[in-house]
Amino acid sequence: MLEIKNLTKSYGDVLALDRFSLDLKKGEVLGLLGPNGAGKTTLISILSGTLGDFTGTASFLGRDLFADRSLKNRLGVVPQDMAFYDELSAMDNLLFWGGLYDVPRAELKKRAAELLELVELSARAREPVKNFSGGMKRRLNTAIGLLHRPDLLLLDEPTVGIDVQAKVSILDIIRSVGAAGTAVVFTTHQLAEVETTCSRIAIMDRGRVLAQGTLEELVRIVGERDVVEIAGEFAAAAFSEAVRDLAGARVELLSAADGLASLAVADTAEVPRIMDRLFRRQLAVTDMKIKTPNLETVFLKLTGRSLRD
Amino acid sequence: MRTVKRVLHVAGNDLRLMVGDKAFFFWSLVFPMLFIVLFGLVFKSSGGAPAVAELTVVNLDEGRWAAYFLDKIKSPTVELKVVGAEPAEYNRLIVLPPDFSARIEARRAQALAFKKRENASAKAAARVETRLYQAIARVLGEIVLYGDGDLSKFLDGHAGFRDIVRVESRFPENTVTAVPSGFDHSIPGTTVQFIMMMVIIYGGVTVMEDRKKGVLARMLFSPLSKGELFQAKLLGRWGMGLVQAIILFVVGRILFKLDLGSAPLALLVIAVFSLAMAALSVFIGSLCRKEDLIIGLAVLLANIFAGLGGCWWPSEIVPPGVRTAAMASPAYWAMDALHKLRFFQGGAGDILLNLGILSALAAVLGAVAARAFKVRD
Amino acid sequence: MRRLLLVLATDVRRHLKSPAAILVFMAIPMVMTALIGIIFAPRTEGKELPPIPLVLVDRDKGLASKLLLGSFDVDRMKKMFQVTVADEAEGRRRMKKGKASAMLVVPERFTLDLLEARTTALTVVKNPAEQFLPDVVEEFVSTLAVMLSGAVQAFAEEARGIRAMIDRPIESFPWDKLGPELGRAQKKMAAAEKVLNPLLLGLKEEETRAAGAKAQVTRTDIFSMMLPGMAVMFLLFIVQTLMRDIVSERQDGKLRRMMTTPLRPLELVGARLAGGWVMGVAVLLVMVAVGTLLFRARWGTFGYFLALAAAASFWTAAFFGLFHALVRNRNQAGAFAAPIILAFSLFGGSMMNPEAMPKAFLAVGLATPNRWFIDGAALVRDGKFPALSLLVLAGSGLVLTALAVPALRRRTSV
Repeated sequence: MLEIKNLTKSYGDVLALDRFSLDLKKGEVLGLLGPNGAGKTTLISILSGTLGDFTGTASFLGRDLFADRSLKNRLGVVPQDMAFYDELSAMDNLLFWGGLYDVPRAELKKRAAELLELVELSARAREPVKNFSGGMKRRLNTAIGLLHRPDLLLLDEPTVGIDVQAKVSILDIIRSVGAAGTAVVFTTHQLAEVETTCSRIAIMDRGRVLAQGTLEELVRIVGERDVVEIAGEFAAAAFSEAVRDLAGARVELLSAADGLASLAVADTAEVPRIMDRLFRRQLAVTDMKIKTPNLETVFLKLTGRSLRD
Repeated sequence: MRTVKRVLHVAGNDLRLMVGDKAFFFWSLVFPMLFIVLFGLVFKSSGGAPAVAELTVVNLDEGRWAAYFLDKIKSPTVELKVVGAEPAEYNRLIVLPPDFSARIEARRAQALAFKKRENASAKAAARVETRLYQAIARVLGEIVLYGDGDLSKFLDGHAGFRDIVRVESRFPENTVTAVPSGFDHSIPGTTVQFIMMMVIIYGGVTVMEDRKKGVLARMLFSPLSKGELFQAKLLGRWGMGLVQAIILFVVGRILFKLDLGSAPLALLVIAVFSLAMAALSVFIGSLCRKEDLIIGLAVLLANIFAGLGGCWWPSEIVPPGVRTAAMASPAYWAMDALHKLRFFQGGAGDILLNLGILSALAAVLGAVAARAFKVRD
Repeated sequence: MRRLLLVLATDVRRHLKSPAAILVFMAIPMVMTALIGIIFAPRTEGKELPPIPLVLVDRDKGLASKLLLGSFDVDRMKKMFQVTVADEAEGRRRMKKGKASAMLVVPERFTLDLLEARTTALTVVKNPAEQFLPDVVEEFVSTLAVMLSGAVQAFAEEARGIRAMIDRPIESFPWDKLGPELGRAQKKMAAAEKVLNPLLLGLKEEETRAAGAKAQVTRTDIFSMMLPGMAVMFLLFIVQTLMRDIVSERQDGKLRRMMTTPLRPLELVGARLAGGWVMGVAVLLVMVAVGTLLFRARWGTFGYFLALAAAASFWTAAFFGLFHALVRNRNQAGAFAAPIILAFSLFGGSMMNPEAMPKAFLAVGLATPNRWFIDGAALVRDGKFPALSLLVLAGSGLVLTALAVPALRRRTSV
């Protein structure tokens, strides 16, 4: 459905997108993760047609996204800004923004009412938006992007600064939109949102995709392993001695101190072997935890821990 | 066709937002009306002078000639306030000294003190002064005619002064039939001034705010192009100027019997003028990032253009240099065209030059604004 | 107190860092003053009033109309009128182009009517697009008509004699009788001379400053009179803009943050009011300095003016303190403030000469700071102490402060 090839954009000396390439299928929900300055908003702006002066191509529904303006009728964008009219009601806003797309007026009214229902704003549809809470505004912001039933929906951090309930509601909408066949690209800093919402994840930094796939695939790609933490009444030297001959490609001793040690394992199937060995050597174990790698560990591994401005 | 529809959709929404703002009615109707009433009343009589100019007469004369002289001064446009001593407050004052009569009867020349308060209307003073000179001419004329002998007997009876040469005044044929009211001058002037001010302020501030909020950028997510978006913004602000003018003209017609000459042509002039101002508003809105700066620039530009362009005072009283400079003001060309239509019953042919210049200005400002127009900072 | 001063100093520094809007607001009164001053200043400083363009339509083509035309040719008249002889159609064209203020139409038989002492009329055709100069022409022609009427009556007998001779064929013109007629006229002229030279009755424009009166106003005087009105109008605009922080900070959370520090609400309110006051005085002083440099404006005793500026700024700060305590948000502040300021200025005399204003406007103007500041500045210019203006501005300013402080405190502790 969407095929981006070698998209490159720079602001002076700063390279915002560096030969960025990405594919997206129908109904796929892609979470685009990246630290500040990774190029996420630049990518969304270029795809949505508000930023020029770049190189590369993007094919959408088999046509050139950058040349065929009619494709904008198939593209929905939810910007990070609450970009709508505070003075107008939610319904009037939907009718205005929908009016910019080629949606027949009667259908637009029906669609606006449906969306207000979906984002749970029907009861306050006629009230000026300036009276809305932050969460309500975010929901309206999302609804505006869906008015014309787009085939591709781009969301730029749609859950910034809102409460848990509003966030859950917006993520539910994104999932349902994806389930209905719309391809979704969704940028966020909230790793947990991506884990629970997206069918595919792309981690980008310095204008490039560093890795992409499902969470499991990412873990595999970056080579992260489960970590076993063991606490007990043992000396560090005794513990090291006990697991020495287990160490190899599948087990690695990460640290050992008196009473606490940790090991990296290729598979949790190694844990019974380790525990058996410790019992045999009569080392008293009081607690054991298995930490599986998550998106955060993958993300930090790929993008590093240094702060970004 | 869809493009036109989209442009109209955005322009219509802008217009709705602007007109829907409660403050719009204050700025577009209530406040201009205050101006119209004030300037209309002020210009009811000529040139900013009050309808009846007041003259304080300090009559210290011990003879009979003061009453005779004052009788000659009397006029519907000059109100005499005769007092016995010089008051602290006055606008214009003439002193008839104690020996006023004695000096005339003795045929001894005298000059009467005529004082004007520094902040009083200079035009009212000029009118009073003219009337005083006419009265003096009548008195002297009668003395020359009938004052051969003893002047102390002069007031006992003599033939009156005959106004053999009278003065009639009228307006040129096929222009106005009645003296134009102050409102006929103040309504077009105020309308032109407020179109400038409000279109630049509202138009500029909303372009700036929409850009900052990301509303302009969001519009480009739709099939609307940047060029079409610019056209829509221009159209919305143009519509705002027109709506404002129509409201003021209609209210002016109902309340003050405003006569525009040819109303359709007057609206055409306002339409072209508003287009130029709409372009200026988009330009300023695209350049500025602060609301206060836009308001300041709008007030500054609108006041300069209005002052130069003849919106506040009759352009004939300004010095020649200023009249030449006035041609740089868009308001001048609009006011000049409205004058031709109202006061000379002009037709389309009479305002072609004005329309041409205003259209050229709109085109230039439009091109500059299109170049400066941006959807994000 | 230390914290109050810290807030105050930070506010001032912040506003000085982005002064574009304030500078534009300060430029407006200067530009307006320059424009109005140039247009309305009396031409006593080297520049004469431009001659009034007048078209003379001569339908008489006789002696009297030629004399009338000739009377416009003397130096003094040339300075007043720029006369063009043309027909009525050309006159109309000139009026339409704004190149003629009026047409003076001398009727047919004008000379003969004067010689026969018959009533006749000069017609002044006024440019309908002009409001002032056509009336000047009409007034002038009226004065001319009075003088002509007097002359016609004075020389009626002689004129009748000459008129009778004119009707004869040229070959039988009684030249011998013309001499005595002219001789009689000359004697009358000599008699009239006693009344007319020097004028038995004339006017003298006195240059007096008694009781607030002054005979002649210079361009500097115009600037000096206008600047206070403009300055107070834009003082209101600028102080309102600066004090809008009260609302902005409430909206963007800075106020809440400040209230988490040991800063007391009263200190913050004090800093805001003092800030408006101090910046108001500074703005007025800058305008005074610029007005003096650009326009050579006179302000009178500096100490008195400073007191007046302090009182006006105090009033303004207190008023906008209260105003910003009452409005809900920044947009509302902007929407209400400008109309209020313009209404103050319109009624208070910042925009127009008070004498030209309707009486109702003048009465309303007493409730505005503009009026008291302008009146006070006029007194200071005349070297007087503006006691009443100071009393009214400071007194009402105190009342506003008394209302503003609790209102602002209430909004601060929200």
